[in-house]
Amino acid sequence: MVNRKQSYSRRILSQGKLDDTLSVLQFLQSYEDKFPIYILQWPEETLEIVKSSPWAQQRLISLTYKDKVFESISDLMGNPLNAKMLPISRIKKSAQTILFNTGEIFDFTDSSRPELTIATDYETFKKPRRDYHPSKLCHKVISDNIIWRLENDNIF
Amino acid sequence: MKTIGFAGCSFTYGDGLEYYDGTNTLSRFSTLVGNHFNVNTVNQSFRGGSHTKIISWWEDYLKNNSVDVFVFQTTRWPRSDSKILPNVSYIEMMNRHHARLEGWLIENNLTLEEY
Repeated sequence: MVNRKQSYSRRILSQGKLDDTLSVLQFLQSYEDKFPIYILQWPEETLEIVKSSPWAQQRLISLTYKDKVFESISDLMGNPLNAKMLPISRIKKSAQTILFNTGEIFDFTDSSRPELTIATDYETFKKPRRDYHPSKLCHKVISDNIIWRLENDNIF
Repeated sequence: MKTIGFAGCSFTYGDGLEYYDGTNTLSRFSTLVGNHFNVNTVNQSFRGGSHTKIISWWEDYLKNNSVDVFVFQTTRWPRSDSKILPNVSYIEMMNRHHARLEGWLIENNLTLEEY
């Protein structure tokens, strides 16, 4: 019974993940003859699907910070493994988790680059707001990497 | 003047940057890239936005407009509005129906396809 239940969950989740990611790639590919396209990957969870397409992988903007290269914003911010979504009924709240209005729960317990998340940006704030979006520094890092890529590809 | 299009969710929107600057637009990455190249930017991003919503807006926009470069920031797939089952989206299922549906299917000895 338990295995069957888990099997339903896995199938629903993996199919949903695949369908949604493919819809993005299909949308982007429909404009490939019109203008250069780049992909900035946020969630770690769909990175492998994106990378499985050579077309998409070629357009993926990698993010370099302090001599390390990351392939997703989630990874850059240092919380790839703990970012997860659970049904609200199964949520166990803790001091380290945050519930977004989309019903998503993210756990930032292991963030290893705290200055890149607003809520842990103690370099700027004595008491940072409980906001788990990219910090101002993180936006700068992302922009530097986009600029590097566009210059490297001779876009402008 | 050339234009870069930026699509995405609250990350591209610059959510939270108002704590630094009083506005979300001054230091968000799209503005910094636009300033660097001295080009226009069209930042159409949605707080809590799904791919469905982002794509829908940009498809409409690109019917009558164009950009010179397009940067698409991916968001989380469970926000998608697409239906996994009739009238049930992923987010709805995850938030409200998932456990109940699973239980009902098992109780009635049905597979997802049979349902």
